[in-house]
Amino acid sequence: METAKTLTPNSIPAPWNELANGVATQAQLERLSLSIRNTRDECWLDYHYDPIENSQRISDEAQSLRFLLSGSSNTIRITPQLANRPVVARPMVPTELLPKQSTTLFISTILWARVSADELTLAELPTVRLSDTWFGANTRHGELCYASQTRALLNLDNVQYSPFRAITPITIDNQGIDNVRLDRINVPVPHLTLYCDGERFWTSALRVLRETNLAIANLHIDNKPPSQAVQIAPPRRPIRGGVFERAVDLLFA
Amino acid sequence: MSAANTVQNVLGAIDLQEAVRAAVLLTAGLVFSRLYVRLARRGTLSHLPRFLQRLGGWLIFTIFIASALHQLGFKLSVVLGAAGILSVAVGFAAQTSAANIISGLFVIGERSFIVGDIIQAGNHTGEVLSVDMLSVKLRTFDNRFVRIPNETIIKTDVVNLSRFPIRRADIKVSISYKSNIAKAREVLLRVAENNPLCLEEPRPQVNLQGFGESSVDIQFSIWSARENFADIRDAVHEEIKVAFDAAGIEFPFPTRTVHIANADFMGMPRHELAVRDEPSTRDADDTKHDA
Repeated sequence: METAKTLTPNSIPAPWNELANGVATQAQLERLSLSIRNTRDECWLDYHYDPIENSQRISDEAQSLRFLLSGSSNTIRITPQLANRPVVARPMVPTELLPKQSTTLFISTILWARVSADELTLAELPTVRLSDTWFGANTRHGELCYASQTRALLNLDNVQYSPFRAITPITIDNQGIDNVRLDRINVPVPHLTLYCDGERFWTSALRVLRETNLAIANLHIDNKPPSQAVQIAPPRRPIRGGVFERAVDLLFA
Repeated sequence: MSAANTVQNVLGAIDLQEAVRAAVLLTAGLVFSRLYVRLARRGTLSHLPRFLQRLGGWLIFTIFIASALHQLGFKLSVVLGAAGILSVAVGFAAQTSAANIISGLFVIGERSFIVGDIIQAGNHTGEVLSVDMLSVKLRTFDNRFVRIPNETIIKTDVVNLSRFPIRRADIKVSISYKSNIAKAREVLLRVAENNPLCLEEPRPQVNLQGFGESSVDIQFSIWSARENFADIRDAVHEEIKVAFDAAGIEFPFPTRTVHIANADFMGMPRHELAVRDEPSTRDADDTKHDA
């Protein structure tokens, strides 16, 4: 297995590079505006989310967090992370994969900002507040996820560049006897590693093999980093061997 | 024969070897029962209530006591017979407690709720603190301690509010007859869409419930994660008010339409008047009087 190169300031694009070095004290990360006031013994983190157009939300108020730290001066770093729950991507147009066919989709998901003082995590904030959603066969069995709309593009060149999104290549191999409907795709983000090639953020690639047994799919997480990429963050919930089985209705709907 | 003599006779009849065996059995019983309770608390029985974990320990110890008595030459049939009579007597005296104990076994066996769940039983809603031999203890949201006998729990409807990870909040919304229903539906769905705590799936639903005296009644159903349920119900009510005000959708108030049948009554022309049921409305009072 190819190992990831080490993280250097040039490994990640702006504005993350300055934030990761602890140089910047203010940042606009997609919709998240945050500022840091760091004194000898305490650190204040003020943040708010820019309102969405035409939104009637009334609870997007500025928040302040205060952290008490012992003595020595601490460097506050902000580094990118993947979401803490799976993300359900909904292709803009309902898509179906025919039997005995294979395809690779590129799905981008929102990054989170991890604020840390040395090795201590102070807060983790999404750069865009995503809606919660439920993914499962019914309201009893399933999991709580974040909802995200995607174009689920086939060609990487068409994927829009954003320093606040990570691209997950998902190869789906349908060996079943009927179509796989891709109305909603569950991307198990907490099991994936975050990489960056200096320009774009990537996650581990996913390979989904749907066997002839219709109910179960094999999910393989490719731990090999993309070319020229360095590891930015390890998976939140690593899976031994990178292979696990999942019910098809917990992956696609 | 005095009591001292009796004790002396009994002790005299006990062989030293038998006494040692009995003592060993009692010690072993104590050790095994404690070991069992400790393992039960850490192992696969850790989810069971404490009294059930201890019950196994008591049973083990009782068996060892019986064996020790047997070693000492006591006839167990007599002891068991006496225990039977005693248990009948105790059973009559403690019918309620016995009913609660038996109900407790069913409550635990059924596993409708466990410690930490939020349940609604009778008039009480709260977090389950413990499921004990005689009762279930709750902490209500206003921080009161409630003890509900197991027998009552068995007989009453119990709603477990934290069993499933997501919950649905049904919000009653009424709009005036003048308001556009399609627009209200669109605004409500946008409110759900804009609130990140409101689940995208299962989809929010807007259902027309019927036509009230003065309002069109709508049920707005939204889903949220269990832990966000109270927050979302509070926030969405406020967001609906703001969104309806912005969209010009009216909340109704009670109205009465009075038709005056006699066209020439007191020289008044035939007409219709809308009368509001507000005591402070002078016109409304006058019209009612005239009618």
